[in-house]
Amino acid sequence: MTTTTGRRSPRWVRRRAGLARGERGSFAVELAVLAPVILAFLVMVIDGGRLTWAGSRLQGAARDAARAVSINHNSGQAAYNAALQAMNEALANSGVDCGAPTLTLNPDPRTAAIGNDQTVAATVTCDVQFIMVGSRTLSRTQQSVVDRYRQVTTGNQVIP
Amino acid sequence: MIGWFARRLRRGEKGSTAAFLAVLAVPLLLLFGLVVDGGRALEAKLRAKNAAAEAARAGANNCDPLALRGVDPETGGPIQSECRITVFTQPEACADADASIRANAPANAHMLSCRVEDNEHVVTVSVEFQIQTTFLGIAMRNLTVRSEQSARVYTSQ
Repeated sequence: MTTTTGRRSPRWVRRRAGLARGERGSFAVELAVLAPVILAFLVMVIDGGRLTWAGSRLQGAARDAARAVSINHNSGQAAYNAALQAMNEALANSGVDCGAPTLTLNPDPRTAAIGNDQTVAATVTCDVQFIMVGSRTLSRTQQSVVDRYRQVTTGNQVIP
Repeated sequence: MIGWFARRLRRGEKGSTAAFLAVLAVPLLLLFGLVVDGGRALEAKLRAKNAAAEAARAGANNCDPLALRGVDPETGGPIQSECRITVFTQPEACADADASIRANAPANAHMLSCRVEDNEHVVTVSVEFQIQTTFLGIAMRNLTVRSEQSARVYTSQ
């Protein structure tokens, strides 16, 4: 590929010659080796996004559950069920995939009476599964003040 | 840096992949930082909103007991019984709102304002706090989140 005029061969010719010496394709090979590393990093980015998203949704679910109890006219199991339903509705269709979320109420209306000057804290906990391996337990709590002038139904009695 | 990278690539040298990866790592890290810190900022905003709304509700619990009993708190005359947060119960309402913020917002949160509006029927609370960024620390170390929420009292007759 040399020219008869004695001029230096053009750059592209020299480049091709260099590649022909056995380095041709080394970039592609090295890239193929490094591709999993790049891919793993991208998966990490996606997992980071999913984790923060799940945190936001759990915060919203805890808020809804706490509010469901603090505004509830019933006590006992009915109040707990209202909180559970509020949590499940908040997490449904939210794109959060964390198996079975658990709800903890403090005080728990099933075991303690919810008084008028009181707050109820709802804690929602669940395991967010990572795409490749492992999981992380996320937990969010929201406290809600009980409506002082709500009407409470206990059995057949209405306590104003 | 890109020019240097392109030159090295043209020469077809070994080790160019490492250079390629080094160049790629910058936008990837930036993306990671944006996703994590951006997500964290959104959650902080939600937390501020929830804390402000809950604080407003806590404040709105403080109906004036006289107005509830159908007595005008200022003149002592008969009025229609309803829940109102009057000037007499407003300090208590705002103290309750402040205490509620302590429970639902980070420790560095503070109540920006607390007012009673709409003929003593609405409590409006605004909350502000700062969060620290982890990855975007070069551009902005602190993000300020703020939210203002209202609670209205209804009286069933």
